[in-house]
Formats: sequence, C-alpha cells, structure tokens
Amino acid sequence: MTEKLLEVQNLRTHFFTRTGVVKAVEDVSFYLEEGETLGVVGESGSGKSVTSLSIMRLIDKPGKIVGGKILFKGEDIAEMDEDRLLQIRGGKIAMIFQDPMTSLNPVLTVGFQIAEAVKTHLKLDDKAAMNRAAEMLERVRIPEARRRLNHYPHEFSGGMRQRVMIAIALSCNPQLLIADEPTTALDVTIQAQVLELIKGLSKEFRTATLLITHDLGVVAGTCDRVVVMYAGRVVESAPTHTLFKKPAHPYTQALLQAIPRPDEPPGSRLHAISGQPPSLINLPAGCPFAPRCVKAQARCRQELPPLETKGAGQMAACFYPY
Amino acid sequence: MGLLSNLPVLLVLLAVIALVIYSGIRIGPRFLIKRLAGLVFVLFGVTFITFILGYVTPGSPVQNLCGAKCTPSQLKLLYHIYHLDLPWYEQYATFLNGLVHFDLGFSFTQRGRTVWSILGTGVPISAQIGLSALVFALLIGVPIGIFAAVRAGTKFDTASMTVALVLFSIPTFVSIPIYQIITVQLSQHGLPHLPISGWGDSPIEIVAPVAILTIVELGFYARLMRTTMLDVLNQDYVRTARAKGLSRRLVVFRHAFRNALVPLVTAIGPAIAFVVTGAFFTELFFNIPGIGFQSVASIGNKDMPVVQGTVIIVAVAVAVMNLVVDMVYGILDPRIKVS
Amino acid sequence: MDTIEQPSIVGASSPEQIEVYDAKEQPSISPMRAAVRRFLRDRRAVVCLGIILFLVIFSFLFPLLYVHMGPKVLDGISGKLIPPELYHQFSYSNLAASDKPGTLFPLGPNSLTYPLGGDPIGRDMLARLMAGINVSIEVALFVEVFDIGLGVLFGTLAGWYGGWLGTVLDRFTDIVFAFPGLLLIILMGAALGPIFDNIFKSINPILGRIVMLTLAIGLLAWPLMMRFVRGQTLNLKEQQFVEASRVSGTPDGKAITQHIIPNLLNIVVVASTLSILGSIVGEAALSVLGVGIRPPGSSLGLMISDSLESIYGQWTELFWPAFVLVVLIVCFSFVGDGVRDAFDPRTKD
Repeated sequence: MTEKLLEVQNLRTHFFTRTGVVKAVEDVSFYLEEGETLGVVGESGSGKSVTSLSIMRLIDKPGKIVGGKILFKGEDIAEMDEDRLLQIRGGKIAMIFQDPMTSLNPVLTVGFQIAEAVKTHLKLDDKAAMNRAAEMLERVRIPEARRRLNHYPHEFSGGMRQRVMIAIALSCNPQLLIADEPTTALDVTIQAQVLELIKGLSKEFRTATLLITHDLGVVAGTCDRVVVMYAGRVVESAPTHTLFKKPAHPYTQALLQAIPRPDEPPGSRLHAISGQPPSLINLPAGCPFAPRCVKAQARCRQELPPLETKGAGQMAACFYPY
Repeated sequence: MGLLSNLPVLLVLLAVIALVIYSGIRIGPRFLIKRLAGLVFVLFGVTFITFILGYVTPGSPVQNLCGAKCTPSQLKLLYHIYHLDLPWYEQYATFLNGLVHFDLGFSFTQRGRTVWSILGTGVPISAQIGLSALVFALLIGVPIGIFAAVRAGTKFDTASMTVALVLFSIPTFVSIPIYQIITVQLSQHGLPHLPISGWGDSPIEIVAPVAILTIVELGFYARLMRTTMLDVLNQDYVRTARAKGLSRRLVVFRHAFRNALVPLVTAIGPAIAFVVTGAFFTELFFNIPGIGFQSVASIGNKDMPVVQGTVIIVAVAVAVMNLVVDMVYGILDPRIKVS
Repeated sequence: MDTIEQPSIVGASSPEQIEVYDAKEQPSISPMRAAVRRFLRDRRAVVCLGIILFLVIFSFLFPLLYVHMGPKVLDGISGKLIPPELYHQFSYSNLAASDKPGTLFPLGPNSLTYPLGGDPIGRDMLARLMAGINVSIEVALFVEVFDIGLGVLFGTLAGWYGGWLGTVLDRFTDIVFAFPGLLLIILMGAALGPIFDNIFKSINPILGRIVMLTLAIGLLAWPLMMRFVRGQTLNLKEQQFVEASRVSGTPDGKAITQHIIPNLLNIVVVASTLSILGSIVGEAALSVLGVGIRPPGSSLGLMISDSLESIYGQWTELFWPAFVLVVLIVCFSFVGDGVRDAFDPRTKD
C-alpha cells in the first residue's frame, strides 16, 4: 500500500471551557491521497473547521488536540516541534479561510503578503519574491497584477480578496490545500468562479485539496470523495457519486433530501431535519444522531455505532444503513 | 549638557513642525484652515472660562506686588496699569487684543516678568521631565503589554497586569511623600539616597521625579497595549499569518503590532500635549520650577495672566497633537483617509 | 502531551466559534443577569467590591458608636478630663494628643483612646479617617448622579437628533478636553469654593465644599459619559429593532425611553465605574492642594497634606490616609476592570 498524503487517525480535539469540555472533534479518521480532492461536509458545530485547524495545529487555548495522529507523509503533525511545524504551515500545507474581508492584514500591501510567504518557504530574495507574487496574482486572474501588488486589501472586493488568499496559499507549491468554507462569505455569482479557480489551480499545481463546506452542492462538482461529519464525528465517507446515489447514513440521506429541487412542484414544503444537534459537552450515549433519526432503534440510543465498511469505498457509522 | 538634556524636547518640536508641514502638503490648506478655525474657537472658550473663573475668585491679585507699605493711591495705580479697574468685558477684550498680537501681558506677582518669559523657563523643564517619563514608560510598558497579550491567561499576564493596575492607581501625591519619607530615613542613617527634592543643582535631581512619573504611566501603557494586542491577535489576519508558517516573532511584530499602534497613538498624542502643563504634584512636591508648579502657584496668587498663558499653550498643544495623530493614523492605516 | 500545547497566540478557534447547542439545558437569563453572573466569577473584583463596601459601611456606621467608646482623657489646653463624645469627633482638636502614636496594639483598655493616634493638631486619626472616607464616597456618588444625569440626557438627545445640539456639545467637549483637567478644577475650587462656602454656611460647613467639588469634577467628567452614550445611541438608532419601531410610528420620546435607555445600561455602568475612580482621586488631589475640603472638615487628601506639614510627626499620619486612599482606588480599579469585562456588550461566555 502506498503512503497516503494525509492520514488523520482517531483525532480528538477538545475545548476546555468554563461550562465543560466541548468535544469538538471526537475520534475522527480519514485520509487523503496525493492530488485528490476530499470534501468534508457538516453543519456548523459538526467539528469540520476544528478538524482543519487541528491539521494546521492552529488550535489555541482553551482548545487542545487530546489524542490521535495526523500523519502528513508519515510524519505526525500532532507531535511535531515548532520549527518543523513552521516549515509545514504554508510550505507543505496551505489554508484558505472563510471570510476574505478579515483574513488579509489591512495595513500591509497585497504584494507584501504574498511575497512574505514566498520568502519564508522558497527562500527567494525580495525581488524574486515580488515577481512570484505578481505571477501568482496573474494565475488567480487578477487584472493588472503588477500594479495591484502595491494595493492594500481594502482596495479589493470580497471575491478579489479570496483570490489573493488563494494566491498566497498556492504561492509556495503546497502539497495540500485546506479550504475552509472558501465561498460561504461570497456572493453566489462569485462563488462558482472562486470554486472553479480552486479546482483548476489545484489540478495545475498538483495539489491535493481538503474542501470544508456545509454545502453539498459545492461538493458535488468538486470533490472525488466526501466525508460527512456530525457532532464531532465522521458518520459517513464515500466516493462522491456513491454518496449522492446511495447514501448509507440516515443523516446523509436527510442532508441530501434537504437540498431544494427544481423539479418539485412550487409550494411544496422544504425538507428540514427536525430537532437540533446535541450539545458537544454532554453527548448522549449511543449514536449522536439518534434523537433526530427517523430509523433509530433502542440499540442506537445505547451503543455507539462504529465506522464500518458498507460498500465499495463507502463507510458509515450506522447500525441500520440505507 | 544643556543642549543634550533638552534633546527630547527639541526632537519632538522638530517632529511636530515637520508633520504640520507634511500635512499641509499632503492634504492641502483647506484642512489646515478648518483645524485652525477649531483651534481659535477652543482658545476663545478656554480663555473665557479661565477669565471668568479668575474674575470671580476673591482676593486682590496685585496686593503682593504693591508690597507691605502699599498706599491706596499706589494700589489704584497698579489696578489701572493692569486694567483691573475696567469692567469685566473690557478686561477680557483687552486680554484678547493682546492675544491676537501674541502678547500675553505681564505677570501680576513676579515684578516685570512677561508671561512669555515665565512660560519660556517653565515649559522646557516640564517638557523635559514629562517627555523623559513618557519615553521610558513606553519603552518598558509597551513590551510588557505585548508580552502579556501573547501569553494571555498565564501567570505572567495576570501578575504583570495586576501590578500595572496598582502602579497606575497610586496617585503621585501619595507615592511622592512616601518616597520622600523613605529618603529622609535613608539620609538620617547615612545610607546612599537620591535627593529629596530640588531642581537645578545637580543633574541627578531629575531621576526621582522622572522615575515616579514613569511608574504611573508605565502601568497605563502596559494595560492599554495588552488590551489592543489581545484584540488584534484574535483577528483573522493573524491566523492567516500563522497559517503561512511565519515565526511567532514575525506574527506578533509584523502583523499584529502595527495594527495595535492606532489606539496607542491615540493615547500618546494628548499625552504629549499635556506634557507642557507639567505634572502638578510632581513639580510641587519636588520643588521643580516647571509650568505645573508655576500655574498652581499662580492660581493661589490670582496671577491670572500666567494661568491664561498655561491654558493657551495647552490648548494649542492639544490641537497640534490632534493634527499629528490624524497624520500618523494615515501613515499607520491605509484605510483611513484624512478629511 | 506537552508538545501539542500551542503558543497562545490566539487567532484560530476561540470557544465562541464552536457553537454549542445548549438551548434546552440552560434556562434563558437576561443580559443584565448574565453580566452580573460574569462579574461574580471574577474573584478579585468581588473581593475588592467587598472591601469597598466594608470600608464605606464601616465609616458611615461606626462613628455613631465610636463617639461613646473610650475612657476620659486630659485635654491639652483646659487641663480638664474630656469624654470620648468630644475627642472622638473628627474635628475636635486636643493638643495633648498632637502627633500621638497609635495605640491599636496591644489591645488594652487605653487602646481605644486614640487607636490610630493623633494628627499634628491632636485630632483623632481614626475619626478623621472615617470622615474622610465618607467625604470621598459622598463626592463620588454626587458626581455620579451629575455625570449620569447630564451624560445620558445630552448623550441620547445628541445621538438621536444630532443637528445643532450635537454640534454645540461637540464644541463644548472640545473645550473641556483641551483644558488640563486638574488646572480647571483647581481654578474652579479657588473661584467657587468661597462662594459655595457662603451659600451653605448655615446648613453645614463642609457641604459647600462637597457641592463645589461635585460641580467641578462632574463638569469635567460628564462630556466623556456623553460621548459614550452618544456613540451607543447612534449605534442603536441604526439597529433594526429601533428602525422597526420608528417606522411603525412610535413617538421619539417613547422610542428613546423604551429602546435606547435600557440598552445604555452596560455602557453607563462601565463608564461610571471609571469615573468614580476619577472622582475619588480628584477630591483627594484638590484637598491636598488646599482648594477642596478644608478644616474643620476631613478628607483623605487633607489628611495627607496635614501629615506633610510636620514631617517629623508619626509616620502613621501619612500612612493611614495614603493606605486607605490607595486601597479605595486600587479596589475601584479592579472592580472597574471586572465590570468592564462583564458588562462590555462584546464579551460572551
């Protein structure tokens, strides 16, 4: 078996708050092959963002990675020392965040912010780094790239800023790009452009992508495989087409049903999942989705279903799948 | 030595002049004229309030000037010379007339001295002490604040911020007497000590007043810096910088610190302006003939021209520093357009 | 697993970003009660509040008892025995007790005569100390009434209507902020002190000075309160719930009292704890300079300045007023800190 690019094994990230221990990520495992695009889907609070920040080791107090391994090409990020970590961050694994309006430093020029990353990881001199920055701005299709280098973030629109973020992320040829809800804060019309850009460039740069989103529509057109998270756990993972055609976990099924369809008659009710996600502080025994699950049996409320293979490449954590 | 000790004053003065010229070039005279109009209004307001308060204060300002063997006719003459026999509005008008000619008149109590000459000797002394204390407070307080913010929640953070708050809370009219009592004790036991008070005899006399002012201001700036740094460190762009793989030092100083400078500048601007009034209690207790000492003594003597002079230079200093602060904002934060 | 310990440069995931669904488990509480609860968790602030309350209640109530406690002592001038009803009054001067050392320890029958000693002209230190705390708190409270009253009134009006009122207030604050604060209150003290002394002479010799201090300090304090309130009002005015109420034709007065004033609570609480601090320091400072409270009245500042008159007196003469003043100021600072953290609208659990 070849070595996976990224292999997350039994990751557990907890937040030690005043009201109790928030188990934001609990026993999460998945992997990513080189050049592959993996979608991580879940509603807010499902732990998908915390997972991505854990991979970057950007979890701060009161949060802490309390268990598991994050193997990046065989090296465990969870145990890595600060120096090695700085080489990985930005150099090998780069990240794009949700809100482009606040993710760029307002007092530094865009060119500087790209060149800074380049200088750190590719050890280029100032001039070469600026050239690289200009090249990257062109690659993310910002017009008049060289002139725009000296502009400040507030002189760019939201979509443009997210392009700048992509430029920063890809400037050092990372092997893995983590995009945490990269289009959520953008206008619908811009969303598709930015997604296309990420898709195209990651192919061009041969970068594997971990796409975090709450939008199954985004996953459908972009990802090779999908991991579905619920209440800090992985409930299903499958190749994209399998997931859409034959979802195993009732939660995935409910999510798919919740997508409004144009072929339904106007005026018909939208499908919503009744109830609310559980508190991550006092998780009930058994399957976390059981209280909201239409198929739940007595066993589901007592025993936690393990993540098991249910079909070709498809795994689900459910006693009564399909 | 004389030039060297006034170096901070000179430097600040030069910097202010340079910035005013720079602002005139950068944003045009209209802005400056608007600011100037604001200054004229404020000057009018502060001098009027000062005048009225001085006018209703009981007691005769020129009694002392006249001396012990004062005859009623001499007193009357003095009243006439200082325009004190006029009705209040004419007195104020006379004062304003002088003011527009940059003439602040003569002191009521110090025979033959113009207000300008009193300000001229007092302000440099006050500014020298005040600016030295400010510089030291910033040099020590800002790093402590940054460090505390970076290590928020640790023992260092809690301990240093508690100490800072206590230092900032103790008024100088408490800490200086305590310092002096300790110094008296030290001298009685023949132990090495700093001078109890005084000015102009030896350069070492500046140490204690500057140190006491530094301690107070240090607490303030350390706390201010911690609050703003903590705020900035929580921003998304700091996370971006970290995700780039920048070292902690670069994240803190290149990405966070520059953004935290705006509130700091907002605080330092007026602080520099009020340096010219001097620190009242420090000057009183240490017997330093700065402008703070002069103006408080002048209130006691009803020497209103000197009080007016102080009030005027502070108002001007505040206006100039506000302008400077606006300019610096524009340099620090590209989003802010001066208008 | 210490290697995982992150340097706490924050920036990633604070607990607020992780949504915790606790809707069912926690009963809903009003923002006010939530703030009070947050404040109570700050142990340092709570202890400080306790110390302040103790000092205040003690110095208001204990004098009633204190004047009946202690044996008769010899008066320095008349040579007669005088009862504690006389010498435990804060203004009674018994020259035989001048610069008398404290007798607090050991606790014997005579330790009650002058527990903290006598001041340079033979007044009881403890009685003066308690009277001084009373004055500090009275001035602080009066200033607060003045400050909140004017600040909220003009702040909401200027924020809601803007226009010429806003401009006038702006210009006024420009003037106040361009004044060196202490110089202005000293000026006001010198100018208004004698006038107020005359007005209130017949009621109480100290009252005039307290009123004067309140006016002088309050005048400097309220523009800041006004700015806070006005900023908040402007903010609230843009909020949808206020807009909704305006669109539906609620009269201005009702909108202000119903929607604006209740939402100012946080900012007013925070700003006023800060200004209490300023008032206490201001009163003491003026009294040190001799333009605030004057003899026979007592004030912590006055006691400090009295102790400096005789530098060879007891060190406790400086120590006690300085200590109490610093304790009050430091405690109010910590309380203010706690209040700001708890009541700042931006803070969450």
